[in-house]
Amino acid sequence: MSEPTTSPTATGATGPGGKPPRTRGGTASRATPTARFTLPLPAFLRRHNLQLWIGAVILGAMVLLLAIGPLFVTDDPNRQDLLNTFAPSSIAHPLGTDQLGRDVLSRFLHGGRVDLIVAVVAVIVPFILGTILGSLAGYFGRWVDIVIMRLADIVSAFPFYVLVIVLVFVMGNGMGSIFVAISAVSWVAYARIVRGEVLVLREQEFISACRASGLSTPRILTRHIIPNTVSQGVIYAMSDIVLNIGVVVTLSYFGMGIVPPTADWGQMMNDGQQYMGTGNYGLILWPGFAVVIVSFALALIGDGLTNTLKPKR
Amino acid sequence: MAAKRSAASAIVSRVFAATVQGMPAFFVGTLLILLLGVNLGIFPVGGYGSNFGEHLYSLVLPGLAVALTTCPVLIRSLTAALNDSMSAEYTNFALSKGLSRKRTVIDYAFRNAGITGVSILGIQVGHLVGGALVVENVFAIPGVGSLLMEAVLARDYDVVQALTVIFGVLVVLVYLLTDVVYSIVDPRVRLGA
Repeated sequence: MSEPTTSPTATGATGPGGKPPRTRGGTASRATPTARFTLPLPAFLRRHNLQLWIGAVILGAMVLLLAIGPLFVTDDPNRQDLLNTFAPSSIAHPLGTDQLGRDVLSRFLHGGRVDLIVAVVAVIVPFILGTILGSLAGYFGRWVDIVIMRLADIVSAFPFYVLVIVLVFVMGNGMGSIFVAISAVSWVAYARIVRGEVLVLREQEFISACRASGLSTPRILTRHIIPNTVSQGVIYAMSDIVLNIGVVVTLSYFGMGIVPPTADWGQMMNDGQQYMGTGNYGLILWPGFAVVIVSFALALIGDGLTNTLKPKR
Repeated sequence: MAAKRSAASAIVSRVFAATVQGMPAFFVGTLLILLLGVNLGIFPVGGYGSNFGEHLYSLVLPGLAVALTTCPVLIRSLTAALNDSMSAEYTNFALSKGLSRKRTVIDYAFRNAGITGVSILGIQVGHLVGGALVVENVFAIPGVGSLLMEAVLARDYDVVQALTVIFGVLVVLVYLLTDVVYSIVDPRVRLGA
């Protein structure tokens, strides 16, 4: 089997030779005697895991803002005020109003809730599905492996966005079909990552010991194999959430995601782009930068987790 | 980018990757339109022009948008690959053989990290097609991506079906090409062996 097409997309683990390659960020643990030649991360980052903390603080602040913000901004995000469209920022409307006179700050806060919840929830099903299928494929090998991984190949033969858009198109707009579409596509990455992990684990002594002491296969899988693969899955899940935010926002931007009038960032940005010519940049910039900040925080957390959870072999 | 070893440039490239990673393609496109198209007026804000020169000219911003959204994954995996090849035994060997640091990085570390780069690039092309789909719509370029979105919004099942298959075939072809290039770049891989 050719390696390049079957390696986990996000991690960049690819290498020739039969053994599952382990290329992932060997920054911290692989320090060799020639210390001057270990690449980038400065020592203080490695010691204190600053990335993880900075990411967590930024994300926490954002989540807190979205969680308690609507308690203070009591404007109904969907109340229209057609006499007061495109109002500049004022005390009543701190971020102004949009093309229907709706309060932008209120829509921003409520929309963010929707997007983040969808993005996070849409990680759970693929995570579980991918972990189960990947560990089955890795542990049993043979035809189980062939069936599952060819299925994964078929899914990944289509560009990610094309498949998601087409699935949502077939099932109709709304949160439900976003969940199904994302789940149907993104389990593949988890399955590949977990399979790679299991292929290594399967050969290790402690698994042989489990088998020799007569543990049943389901017990070995659930108690000894899967727990050892979870950390890699969690690391990937962080960038998967980022991906999902992008998907939800993009779908809504094209009018295929969250059904109006429910506020969400993608739709706000689409509105914003239409009225960008009239100088109303805020409509698109606020949600846009919010997406960037959340994703940035998640990327930092992912990097930090990689350094913390990476198995030391 | 990832090759620079000083702490500052490492942080810059990481921060850049982490920032751009989360930007939806259409947001990058819109920002570029705002900055370079509307405010500075250097590039057209959309459309495709009528002759080849105009085609190329109007593809600059969309190209930039797609490139910006694709590069973070590449940066991250190249950094990881470089880290690995820098701490590999052959790098140590090259150093102890007395080769200069520069030579070692270019001839040993880069070449081996480049193998990973090629395969990641191949995989990314699949995502790139998806990103192009979004960007095409933002810049109103009459490509396959805008055709797909129009068909979806018009609920034109036949066109959507056909385009999905075409996209699939394209991606598989690119994967095949990646495998071939892979065998050229990495002498250890032999096709049909």
